[in-house]
Amino acid sequence: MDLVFYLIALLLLFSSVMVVTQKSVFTSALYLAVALSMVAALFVLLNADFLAAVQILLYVGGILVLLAFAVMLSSVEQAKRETQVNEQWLPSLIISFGILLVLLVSLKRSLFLEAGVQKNHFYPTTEKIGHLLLGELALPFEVVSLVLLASLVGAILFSKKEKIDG
Amino acid sequence: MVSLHHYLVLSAILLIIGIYGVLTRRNIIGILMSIEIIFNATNINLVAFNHYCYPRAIWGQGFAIFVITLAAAEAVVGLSLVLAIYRNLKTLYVERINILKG
Repeated sequence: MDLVFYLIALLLLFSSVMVVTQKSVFTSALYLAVALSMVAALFVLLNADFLAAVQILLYVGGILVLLAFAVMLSSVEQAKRETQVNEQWLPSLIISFGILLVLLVSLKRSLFLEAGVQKNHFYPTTEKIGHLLLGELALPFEVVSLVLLASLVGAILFSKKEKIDG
Repeated sequence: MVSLHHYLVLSAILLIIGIYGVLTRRNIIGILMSIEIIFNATNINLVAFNHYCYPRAIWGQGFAIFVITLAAAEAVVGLSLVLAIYRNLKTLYVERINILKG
C-alpha cells in the first residue's frame, strides 16, 4: 500500500515537473495526461471511486482534448524553436520554494485530528454523492449548472468571428 | 502507513509546481495547464481530508466535484479566449500580448 502511494506520487511529481518545464507544449499536454491519471489513481487509493471516474472522464477525456486542440490550432512549430521559460524563472523558483517552506512549516505545526480509518472497509460512494448533490447541495448544483451555461455562451461568443468596426 | 500528512505534503509540492509554471511559462496554453495542476492539488487535499478526518461523510468529495466542474468551465472559456487572442494577435506568448498597456 505504501509502495503504491510512493510510486504514484513519484510519477505524479515527475510528470508535473515535465509539464511546466517541457519545451514543446504538445509534449507537456501529454505529460499532463499522465499527471491527471495519477491523480485519479490517488483518488482510488483514497476510496473515492466516483471521483476517480469523474477525473478520468472530465479531465483526461475532456479538458485535455480541448488543450490538445488549442495547441494544434495555434502554431506548434514556432513553439519548438524558442525557449518557453521567461527570464524571471529564478525569482519564480525562489518564490515557489518560499511558499513550499511556509506550507511545510505550517503543516508540521498543524494538529489535524485523524479519525480512525478502517482498513479494507470500502463502500461505494456514487449513491451517497448523488443524494448529496440533489439533496443538501441542490442550490450549489443549480448555480454550477448556471455557470456552465454561462461558460457555454461565453465560449461561443469569444470564438465567433469578430466584426471589424471603424 | 500513509497518513494524511503524506497527501498534504504531496499536494503542497504539486501546488508550487503549478505556481512555478504559472509564473514562468511564456505560452498561455502552458499557463492554463499549470492552473489545472493547481486545481488537482486542491482536489487531492479535499479528498484526503474527507478520507482521513471524516471517513463516514462525503462532503469533501462533493466539493471536489464542484471544483472539477468549475475547472472544466474555466478551461472552456480560457481556451476560447486563447484562440481569439491567437486569431487577432498571431501570438501566444504572454509578453507579446500587451496591447492594453498603451
